[in-house]
Amino acid sequence: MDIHTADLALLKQKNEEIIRRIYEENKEAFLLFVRQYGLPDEEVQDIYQEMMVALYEHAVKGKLEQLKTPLRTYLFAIGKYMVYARLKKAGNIVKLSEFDTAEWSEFAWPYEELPDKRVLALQQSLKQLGEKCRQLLIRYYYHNLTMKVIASEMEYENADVVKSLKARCMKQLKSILNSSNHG
Amino acid sequence: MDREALIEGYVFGNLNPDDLAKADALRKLDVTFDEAVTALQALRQAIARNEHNDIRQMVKKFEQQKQQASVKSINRSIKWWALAASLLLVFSLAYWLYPTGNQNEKLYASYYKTMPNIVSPIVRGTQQQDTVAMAFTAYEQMNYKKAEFLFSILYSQSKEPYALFYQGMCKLEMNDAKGCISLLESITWVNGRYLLADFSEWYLGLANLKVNKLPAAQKYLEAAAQQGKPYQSQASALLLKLRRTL
Repeated sequence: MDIHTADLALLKQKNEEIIRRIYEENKEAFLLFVRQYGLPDEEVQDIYQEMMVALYEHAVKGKLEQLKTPLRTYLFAIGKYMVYARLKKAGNIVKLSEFDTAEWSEFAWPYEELPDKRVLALQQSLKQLGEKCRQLLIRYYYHNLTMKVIASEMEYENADVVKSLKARCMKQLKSILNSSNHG
Repeated sequence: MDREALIEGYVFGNLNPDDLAKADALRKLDVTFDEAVTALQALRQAIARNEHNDIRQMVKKFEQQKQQASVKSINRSIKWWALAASLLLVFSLAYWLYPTGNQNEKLYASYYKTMPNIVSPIVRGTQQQDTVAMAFTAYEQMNYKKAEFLFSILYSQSKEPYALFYQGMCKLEMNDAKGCISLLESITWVNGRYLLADFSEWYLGLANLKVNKLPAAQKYLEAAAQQGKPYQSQASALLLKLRRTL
């Protein structure tokens, strides 16, 4: 399948239906494709799930807008890099020169290591934040949207309203963080 | 630029060189500035991690839902098992007493699944790479006549075994099992390094079954049933069923 503009917009919004469709449509072919590298089934499943996360992250970063290859090809490229990373980690690199190019580095696995305590505490605090505040911060700090776009998407009057709301949300977040630190 | 904008610009990485130099200097001189930058970087990382975990949970849920649906389906069918078992007994007796001619065809139909495209990535560029993309696009769109034609062109250009293999798959999709067998048997799999060689054994087994060439089917299925082959379990199960009929 190729990804259409409307689907891409839904993917960026973390739409479950479109993510499920991409997941189901490519799973079987990917599992067959990856078996040639001799990884255990459980690990192959794990890689496939991680690929879906990477796809979402790449969509958010705007990497899918100018996609010149079919979506499956792109997905497989991500998966191939992940297989390579696993094999490399296990000290099991054999004749994988096809991976040794700079282009693969964009598929690097960002969350291999555990975060520091501050990040972990923030992750928990974000979960306790009200839904509107959380959505606002995600749009601003993760999707890199402007206040104006956020105002339009979240149906606020204008960018100034979003700006003051963001300040309130940050204050709330700090308060949750402090109470959990002292609790 | 105010302090807050400078901190955010620094964290987002969109400062101009002058402001970037200013921010770098402030990080060294002003502890509170440096702390604010670190805190904001941590916040962005925390949000990214939560987003990452959300998607992981979502796709894990897809798998769980599939398993639950399968369990439900099994539970629903349990009450019919007694009835089905008795019906099966009656039909089995009839089957053994009066074997039907299309038994192999049925077995074939119950095991056959379209071979997915596992040749990837396809990169557009040279004329040959475009033919690869076009052939697989036609294949995935189930336009097997067009795909077969393109794979034959591709093979004549590249001599790649996979082109011949997928041409054979197109033939099988179009019910030409004999044509498929002839193509697949003509492939030379260099040094046995091709994963597709393992798939070829399975599909040769199935194609021979479809045309009632049971000894050949058995030979290929035995090869496909070896440890580590992609269709190992299916080939073993099919062999068992075949041996009962031989």
